[in-house]
Amino acid sequence: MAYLSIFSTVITFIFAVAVFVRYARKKRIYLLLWGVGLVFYGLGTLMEALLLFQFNGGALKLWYLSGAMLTAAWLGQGTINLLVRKRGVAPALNLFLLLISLVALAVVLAAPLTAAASTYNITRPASEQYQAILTRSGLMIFLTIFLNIYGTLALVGGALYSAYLFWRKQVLLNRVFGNLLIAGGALLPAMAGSFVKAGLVDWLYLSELLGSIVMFLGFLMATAPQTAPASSTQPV
Amino acid sequence: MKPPSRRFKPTSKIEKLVPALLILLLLALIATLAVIGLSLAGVTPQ
Repeated sequence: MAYLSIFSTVITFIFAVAVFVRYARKKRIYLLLWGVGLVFYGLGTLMEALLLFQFNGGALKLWYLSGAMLTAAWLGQGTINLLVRKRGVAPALNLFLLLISLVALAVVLAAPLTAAASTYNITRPASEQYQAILTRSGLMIFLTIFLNIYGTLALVGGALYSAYLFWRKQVLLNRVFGNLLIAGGALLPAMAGSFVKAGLVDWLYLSELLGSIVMFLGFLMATAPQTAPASSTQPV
Repeated sequence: MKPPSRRFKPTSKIEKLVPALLILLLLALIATLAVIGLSLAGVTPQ
């Protein structure tokens, strides 16, 4: 199972580099925020892989903070910056997310580990055991729920909205399918927690890997220069 | 030389596929948001 997390980490960091390279060229804030979100995604899967070899309290906290709290929110924030045109709204939300993320960092650092840490089973995933080890305050649980719902709604909802707009205008078919892939890819890790609850632990790792690959393909498709009409279409 | 058109005319297959995918993913999004909220709050069965 560890190799799936390692693959996810490698692909996600390559994806992050591709996004940062595009940010360096375009200087658009949404690309920077997506890049940061992908770094959190990669850190989450990296800590997950590490925790399959050896238990470490710091790694568990970093896994929870990056994977369970910040990834979806920062990726979604990128989409908000891409789509929200009303002056001042996106920067205000950026500041809000930054402050919330700092609060999340503080509550995770302050969260004590229980004695169950000594019985941590490295053959089982962290997501199956963290609730017994990491003492989560009400604020921490609230922030996790809030950040995940906010991020998933913004990222997936934004990608579906973009796909719908391109489809309605009948322009750039590559962006229609690119956004559909981004939405589908983002939903896979978002559903990962449900897979664990259903006892489908292997699906958790697979969903993270597939989520990263599908989102990356969607990004590449959506940003590909259209030099010729797509083969499945007739030019008008 | 005239640049290639960014507009497209979908084939009949694509015309059915895209709306179906949009609806499917929208339903999946709604279900996921509900499950995220319920599972993180500890409401769903263990």
